[in-house]
Amino acid sequence: MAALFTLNDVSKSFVRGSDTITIFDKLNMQIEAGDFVAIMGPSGSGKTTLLNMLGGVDGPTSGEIDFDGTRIDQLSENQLSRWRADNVGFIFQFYNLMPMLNAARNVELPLLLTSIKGKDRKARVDAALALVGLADRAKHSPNELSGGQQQRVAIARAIVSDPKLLLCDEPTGDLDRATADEILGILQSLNEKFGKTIVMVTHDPQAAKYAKRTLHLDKGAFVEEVAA
Amino acid sequence: MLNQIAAIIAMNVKSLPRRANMSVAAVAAIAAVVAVLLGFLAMANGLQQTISGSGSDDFAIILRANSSSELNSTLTKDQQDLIALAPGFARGPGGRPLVSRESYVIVDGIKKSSDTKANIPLRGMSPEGVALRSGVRVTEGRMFEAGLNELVVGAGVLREFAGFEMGKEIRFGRSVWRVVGVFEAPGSVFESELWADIKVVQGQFNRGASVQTMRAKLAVPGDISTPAAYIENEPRLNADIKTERTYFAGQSQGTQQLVTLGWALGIAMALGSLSGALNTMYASVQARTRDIATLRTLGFGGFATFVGTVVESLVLAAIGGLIGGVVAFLFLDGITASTLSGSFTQVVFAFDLSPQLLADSVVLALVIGAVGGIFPAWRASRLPLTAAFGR
Amino acid sequence: MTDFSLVLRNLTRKPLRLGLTLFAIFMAFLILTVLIAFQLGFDRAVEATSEERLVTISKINFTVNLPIGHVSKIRATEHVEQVAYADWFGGYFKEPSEPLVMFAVSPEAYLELYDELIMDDDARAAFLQNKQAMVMGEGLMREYGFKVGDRVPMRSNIFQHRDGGNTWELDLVGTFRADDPAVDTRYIIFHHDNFNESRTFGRDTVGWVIIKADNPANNDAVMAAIDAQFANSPNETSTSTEKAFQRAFVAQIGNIGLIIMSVVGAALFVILMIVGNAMMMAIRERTGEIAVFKALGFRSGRIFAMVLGESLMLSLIGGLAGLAVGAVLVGVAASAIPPLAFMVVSTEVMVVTLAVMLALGVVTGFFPARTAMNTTIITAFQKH
Repeated sequence: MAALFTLNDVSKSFVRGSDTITIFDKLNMQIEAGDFVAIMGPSGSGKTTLLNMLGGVDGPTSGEIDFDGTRIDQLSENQLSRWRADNVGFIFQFYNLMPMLNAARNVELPLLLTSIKGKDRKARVDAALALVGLADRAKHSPNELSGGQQQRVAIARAIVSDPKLLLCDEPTGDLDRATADEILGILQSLNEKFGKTIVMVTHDPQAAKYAKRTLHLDKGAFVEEVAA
Repeated sequence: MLNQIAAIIAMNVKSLPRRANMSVAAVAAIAAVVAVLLGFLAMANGLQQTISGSGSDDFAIILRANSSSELNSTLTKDQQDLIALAPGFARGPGGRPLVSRESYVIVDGIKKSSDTKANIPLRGMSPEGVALRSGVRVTEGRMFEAGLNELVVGAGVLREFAGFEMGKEIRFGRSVWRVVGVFEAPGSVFESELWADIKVVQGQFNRGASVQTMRAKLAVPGDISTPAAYIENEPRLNADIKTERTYFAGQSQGTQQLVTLGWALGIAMALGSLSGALNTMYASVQARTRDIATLRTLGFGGFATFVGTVVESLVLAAIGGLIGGVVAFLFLDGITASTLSGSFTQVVFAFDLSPQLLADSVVLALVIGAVGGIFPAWRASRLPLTAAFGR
Repeated sequence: MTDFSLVLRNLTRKPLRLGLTLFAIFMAFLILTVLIAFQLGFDRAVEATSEERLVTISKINFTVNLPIGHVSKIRATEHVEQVAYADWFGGYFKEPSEPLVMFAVSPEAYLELYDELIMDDDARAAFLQNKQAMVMGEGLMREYGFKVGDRVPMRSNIFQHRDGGNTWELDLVGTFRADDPAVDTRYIIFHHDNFNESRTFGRDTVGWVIIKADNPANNDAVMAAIDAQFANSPNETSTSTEKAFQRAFVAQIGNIGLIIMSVVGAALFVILMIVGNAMMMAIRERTGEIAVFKALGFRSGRIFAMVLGESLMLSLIGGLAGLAVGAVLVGVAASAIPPLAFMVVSTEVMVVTLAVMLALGVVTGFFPARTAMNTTIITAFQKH
């Protein structure tokens, strides 16, 4: 398989007051297309920062991040917006649905960033909702849905524009075990049936088991790699 | 891009009720500003319309030189006769010049609204006088008859003052008058007057043969040059001639102060409510930090976020402006009020809210909205995307 | 660390919001101060007129003159102690659009009746002895740049001088002032004799007669006696106290003042409500923190006081700044715009404004403070 992501000597540091806090120092990694990677590690290990950099939400201090031939660390903010809209679906710990929009409209949001119109849009929204098993909840607003249902809407939103990559930030962190397993099952099938590349940050070893491989981060470095 | 902007605007506007408290506060602040501004402007507009609207180019008014108003003017019998001979006045049947000799006496009336005494002008005029005013219509009864103690009452006097109904007898000092008619002269100061025969007024108020002013119909509307030259060259005359329009325009200068006062207050209050609007919008951006960051993470652009927030603020401002306008319209438009005019008499006028004024104040509201939106919008478009993650 | 410094910390935690809220309060109180100064000043100017002096005018209207013969008949009326008379000159200096309040009066009696006017003895003597003399309010003299000793051509927009023209040359021999700023001194008086014999029409009439009874208790009797005396004559009269006369004149300005005041008052109320709302929101946001304070063992009463103190402080800081700037503005306006000279930020104005500030602080603080006081500690452990 070809490498979807290639990170070369990526460093990231923050200046806080008079201190410089280094999170990554010359990190190197590759993520193949079609992979499902779980990233685990203690708080402050830099796993969310890594995810942010992969999603172009945060940039590295130095080093290269190559996505499928594009140096995303060199893109302008507007180019990054465009790139994210085309290539990345995000799934957040707290779902981040728009409270004033119903489920279908929340799912439709990313399509506003594409040239897809009218009927096609509706078809895609319906398909995405059906895929996460919420076809019957399309008209419900987020506050009428349970946490698990909200996260499923969020997954539908992440896949509706058919991006290659899904980035998940603690997707089950706010859910009970059974619901978490449902959500992880959906992610797994998206990876297996639809070939989505998934990078998932998690605290939960159970969740990590759904991934093809798990990377353990500690103090900005991978400590071991375990194949699933 | 338009898609994005439209979607963000729609979301922002839809989410307004979720922040009802602050939104209502901003709307109310702006509504208050607009209502106050409109109140003043409508009052000034109404007063000005009434005073300057009284003037036409068809007629001329002759006053003693340097008299600022009718009350201060006097013309002796000799002067009146000389003025009547002036060229440049229109002539009636038989070639007689169309002029009216008019005296102006101030009498007391009882105001209905406050039950207090207030000054009303009683105008004595020649029988030609009525024809020398535009838009006068007798709506009840008839005109006064020469030589009799008869009054016709302006509709404004009838509205604001007690005891001037048809057929009533009225005492001014020792003289007794009977109301024989009511006239309308829409939107002019004449509606605030009482009219009677000049000779009777002169007799009853010990005026001898002198009058305050004369009034004439001009042969060429707007052109006073011919009679003015005559008056100038006649050494026995010490008089000014003005078109009716010029005369009343001069009388309405005081209303400009109301307009200035209105704008000064309006702007002072606008500054106060601007900080209210800014607070609301900053709070709105803050409350939506996660939403905004999420949208940006999904790929929505910073510009769309910016525009969306500005439009949200403009929508609030427009609602506020509209409410202020409607409140002002419902409660203030058409209110009749009366006040002292330059000549110490009551002028009755109605608050007049013109579309232009409404437009002006809505513009003020939108300016508040724009300024109140831009800074928070800037902040919204600069929010770190990482705010979408975690708590 | 004291409770006070805690309150300060809370207040300044969001400097932007604090600044904006303070500015709104500041503007509201600035406007309020100017308005109250205007309203109270205006009322006081009316109230400063005398209850003791009586004024007789023509029953037709005060612009209609009375024959001068009325004066001696009034003087002869029972219980009348002193009588003066005056006439409206319709004066101006150079600019007809800037009229001057100018009365032709019976000098000695007028000054006796208006004893609130303070004049040097020299000026008084010079005024009484020179028929061509006039005196004016000190402020008015400064405003026009006249000097004592000037001979000033005063013009009338009503009367003609028998020598032709409308100009009366008058000697400015002195000024008067008053201790009470509410007493209007922005006017000119000169000799009625001089005026009466030199005008071309209106001879031997007076505009109004001013009367003082031997005892204020006899005022009603005097008023009735005067008007009865002239009933059914060609020149009937109407007599009232000066204050009643002044009130009636002010009432003529009409409901405009009332409308302006109610519109602006309503708008100010709305602004204050909005500020109050913002203040309440600011405190409500902190319910969780307040619960933590409770968890730490702070007593409810103390929390109540701290929240109330915060809103009071906010209201007072913004309000006092508004009052201060408003006072400066009123001072500038009163000296720069002579017709507004009656405006003054008196103790009364300050008290009223301060009361509104305290009310704003208490009202906006009370409800959130009560909520804060009743917050249960559990709130601290819930997500919000």
